[in-house]
Amino acid sequence: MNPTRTLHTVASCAALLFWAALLVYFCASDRITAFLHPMFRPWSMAAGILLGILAVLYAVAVRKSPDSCCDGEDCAETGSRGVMPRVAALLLLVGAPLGAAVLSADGFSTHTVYNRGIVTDASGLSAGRERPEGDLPGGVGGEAEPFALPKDAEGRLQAEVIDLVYGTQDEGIRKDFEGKPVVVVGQLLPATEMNPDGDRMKLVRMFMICCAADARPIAVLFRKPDAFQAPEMSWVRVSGRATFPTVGGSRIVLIDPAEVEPCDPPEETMLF
Amino acid sequence: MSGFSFHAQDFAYAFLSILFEGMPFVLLGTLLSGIIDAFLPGHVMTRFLPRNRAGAIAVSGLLGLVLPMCECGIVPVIRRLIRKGLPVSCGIAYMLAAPILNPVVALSTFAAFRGQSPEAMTVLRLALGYLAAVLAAFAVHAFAGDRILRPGVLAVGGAGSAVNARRRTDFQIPGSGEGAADPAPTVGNRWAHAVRVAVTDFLDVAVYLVIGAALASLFNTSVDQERILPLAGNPPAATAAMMGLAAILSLCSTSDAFIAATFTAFPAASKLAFLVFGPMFDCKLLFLYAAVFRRRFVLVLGAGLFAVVWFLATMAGKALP
Repeated sequence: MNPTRTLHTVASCAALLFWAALLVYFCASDRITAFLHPMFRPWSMAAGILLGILAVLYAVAVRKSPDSCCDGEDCAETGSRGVMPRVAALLLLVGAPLGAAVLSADGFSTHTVYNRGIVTDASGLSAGRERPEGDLPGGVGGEAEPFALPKDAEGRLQAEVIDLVYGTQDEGIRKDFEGKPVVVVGQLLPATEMNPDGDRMKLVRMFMICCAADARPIAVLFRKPDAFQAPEMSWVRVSGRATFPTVGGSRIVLIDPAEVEPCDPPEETMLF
Repeated sequence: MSGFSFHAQDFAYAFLSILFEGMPFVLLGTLLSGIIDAFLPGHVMTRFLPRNRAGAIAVSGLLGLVLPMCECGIVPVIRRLIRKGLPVSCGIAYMLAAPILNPVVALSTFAAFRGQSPEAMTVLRLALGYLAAVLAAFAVHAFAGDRILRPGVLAVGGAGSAVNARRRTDFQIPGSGEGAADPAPTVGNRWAHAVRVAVTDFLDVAVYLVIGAALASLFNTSVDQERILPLAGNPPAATAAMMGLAAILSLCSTSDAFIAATFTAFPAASKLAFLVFGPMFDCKLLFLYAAVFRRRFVLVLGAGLFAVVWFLATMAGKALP
């Protein structure tokens, strides 16, 4: 095998193995949970494994091909580019994601959260997104149904931000929550609007459709205890009674009065 | 706050998420392209298409119903199909229509727009996607293949010449002997060839996905998306803004309806334009298409699609509440 072809083969196999390792590492380490909807995660794992296998098969397949292959510009397997530009492209294929994997904090900062616009009522979510059956107390309008949401030791409903936000548009869900004690986990942000007395804060979660790139921040408001302070975007557990006041023509969620305590991030930082 | 501000960690996070979502489908498409190249006899595609130009383009636009592909996966497939003898115009009709005109997209659009005329939105999305793809294909048919395709796309099988490229718009291709599979006497050799082609295509297309994902992530995290909200009250501007947003966000066609439906302040026509234009042309596709087509053609295609989709969506929007 000539040196040019050897370089091309080695670089190609290395790029495939890098991508295999990257995908398998993110899946095996559960870092993938911050990046993809559960539906897409098995695809990533399968792709990682398949790329590893493909790297081995490629090395074998190249040995079986005629030695003249990949020397010319018209080679079917190198396209119109020469070998060196191709190797440079492979460096980009490896270098860019490697740099991103090192740099990524596996979550958005306030910068992007604000850029995307924080949704506080369900009219800002797709009309087609239904709350999953059985995940919410009673179902739509089901006043007499037993609550399906788990309760903590103090009898508070363990809700997600998305459950409460749906209550701004769905009367049945609203009735299920209104006036009841709830406990919700999310990230802390100041409330720059809908905060007439300056004593409210936002509890934010990212709501993902497919991947983090399409995630949108959704939030409920809570009345913070006096002298409460915590860094922006820190994870907190907020408990109190769920209310649904109307502010400026839109219904919002306000947890009032609220207790706030720092907590660890949940296993799934995104909501789906 | 200005409309654009860069944050490296957020960029890296969004960039990786797009790559992790798209890469398995690129791999799927390239595996399919390897199998097509090794096992699909030359011109078998054209044998199943009507001989006349209009019929062939019209049928190609419907191929997504039987061979559904997302916009990431379809690029390597289309490259191989063109190399195997599919006329460029038919390839473009399939490439542009398939990410929209497939069962998964129809179902997701219907689900996302519940409460917002889901039947009309779904039917119009599929119909406009098909129409825009077919119109683009007819426009492309006027040009010779070598003015459209990237050098080297047809360079295979000993007939990789400009003549070969020019003839890719000719519907008398079957029987000409071009684009035949490499002579591979054994099944083992064919599989080895399939692996080599799949790997080459994967590495080729993945580079473009990386560049496109970087551009999409840059806009995705750095642009204040609420800046477009004031345009919602002006229908023509709203439609153009939503199409621009679709190009910037570079969403997957199977899930973009869930995002489009949330823009409740925008007219239905603008959301329809978002759903039709996005899967046909966005930041990542700008680079992915460059794996097959000349860069100038890609830009012209983007501009043409923008104008056609804007017009069609504006007209169709009159039928929507």
